[in-house]
Amino acid sequence: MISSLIHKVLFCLRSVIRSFGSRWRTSPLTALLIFCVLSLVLKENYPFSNFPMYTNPSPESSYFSITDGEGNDLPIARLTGVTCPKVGKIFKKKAAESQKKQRVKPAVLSAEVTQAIGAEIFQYLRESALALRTDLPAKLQLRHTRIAYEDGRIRETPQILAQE
Amino acid sequence: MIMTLRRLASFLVSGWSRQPAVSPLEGFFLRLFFGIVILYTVQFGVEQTREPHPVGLLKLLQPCGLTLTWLADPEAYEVFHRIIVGVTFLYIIGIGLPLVLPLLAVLHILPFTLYNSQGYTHHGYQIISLTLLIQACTAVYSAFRERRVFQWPSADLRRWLLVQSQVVITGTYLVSVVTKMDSSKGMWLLNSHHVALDMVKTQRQNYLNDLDPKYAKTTADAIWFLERPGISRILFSSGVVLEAVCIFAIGNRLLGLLFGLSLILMHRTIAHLMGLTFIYNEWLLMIFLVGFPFGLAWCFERVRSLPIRRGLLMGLAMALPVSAYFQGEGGGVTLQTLGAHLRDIMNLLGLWSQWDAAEFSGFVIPLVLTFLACGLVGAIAGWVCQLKRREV
Repeated sequence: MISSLIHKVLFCLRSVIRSFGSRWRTSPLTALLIFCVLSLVLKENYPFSNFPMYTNPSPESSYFSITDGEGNDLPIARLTGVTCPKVGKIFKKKAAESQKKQRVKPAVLSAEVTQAIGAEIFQYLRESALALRTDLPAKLQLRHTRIAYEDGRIRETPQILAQE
Repeated sequence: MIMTLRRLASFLVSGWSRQPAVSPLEGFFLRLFFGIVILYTVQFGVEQTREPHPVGLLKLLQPCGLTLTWLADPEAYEVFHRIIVGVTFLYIIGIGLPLVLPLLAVLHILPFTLYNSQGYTHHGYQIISLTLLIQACTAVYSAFRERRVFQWPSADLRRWLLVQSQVVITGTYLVSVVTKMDSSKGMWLLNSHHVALDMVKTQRQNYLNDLDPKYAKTTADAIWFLERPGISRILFSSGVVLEAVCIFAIGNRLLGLLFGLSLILMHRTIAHLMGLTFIYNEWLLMIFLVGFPFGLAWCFERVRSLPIRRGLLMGLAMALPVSAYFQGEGGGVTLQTLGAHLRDIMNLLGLWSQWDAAEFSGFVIPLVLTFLACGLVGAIAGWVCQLKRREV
């Protein structure tokens, strides 16, 4: 019974492959396959991407933000053209480079490393603000806020990663 | 039952083996609307003066001592922009596509490679560059096969340009599904209710970008989803399933319409819940999957009389300078005012993501009326020509 079923499935697969085999040049599936493989192998190399956004939903999420020296929020995109998600992506990229790993969570980095990465980000933001002819406060802070759902409430826990 | 299932399966994959014919007029509309989207994306320029984290082409250029930071110079970008406008114009006309398309693809890729070489990735423009890239490959392959370069696109090339664009658009969704499953070790659907926390994250980020009070929302929506994990899983997973099965839309007009509209609805829902817009995806879905150019061409092709159809098209073409004259700031119609008017029309694409009632009633309605009136005058002129020809 099972062997007959397997035999039928294999027969179907073989006929599909054979029919595709004779038409692979004129089938859009060939282009689709090549495109998907290239995108997954090349990852984030413009114009290719493996689109890694929201790929691993977990019970905890987080975001990055920039504040002034007193911890007041700054409209950072308006002042520098660099949005909060971009700040987070730069931090993660630099953290991954410093640890020579693909993904690094801020919690596992030493205070010296986060301060050094933060200083590079502040420098980049100041250069961007200069290009836009806007003023940034004398001191900046880089914050990382963790979000979790606990006891029917959303709890946000901010942490200062680096400051001037 | 088995027969019905077999018929359904055969209908779902029918577009993979038998692609739809694309008329010359539909081919023109496809290039026209895609060309407008291309021009919309390159009008703003780039401000990045460094390449700290090179990606794509820059990884090849930097070791040779070449950079792309010259694009950040406003004067250089002005020249670059004029070149890309000229090449896009040639693309819309449709002549010499095997040469024009590769050039246009490279030109479109350059500024966004610089933009994405800052350590952060923006995923908005990829779908446009990739569509151009696959169209370029298709046109070059067709030139070798048909041994023709400078002629108008053949029926085969028009058909394949549409189908391969659909391959890239649906392929980007399929790639994102594979990445989701890979990153979450196959647990994405089961854990999808946690996406509600990402809703809070994106809302907070949107607020903190500009301290815009419209994004200072409460977390009520997210809590609603978190309290109902079962419903949340079904809702969030349905989007991923849609992304996976939209490849059935390749080469099938009806499924293209259904999947295209469903994907636009999905993007609109995400925009409402998370404040994340996918405007370029939505435009490309409208053009290549939903088949807006196909519908438009179909309407024109219902006009059987060739003189009337030609008159109608010429009338619509004349509507551009006429509307530029009436809607401009006075001083007649010059090349500059016509260019500015075309730019205003192109920027109407922005209404798709940010509705502006004043812009709609003040600019769009008079524009549409002018086009309709000119089209009607052109059609009547064509009809008169037809009558005179019959008399002769």
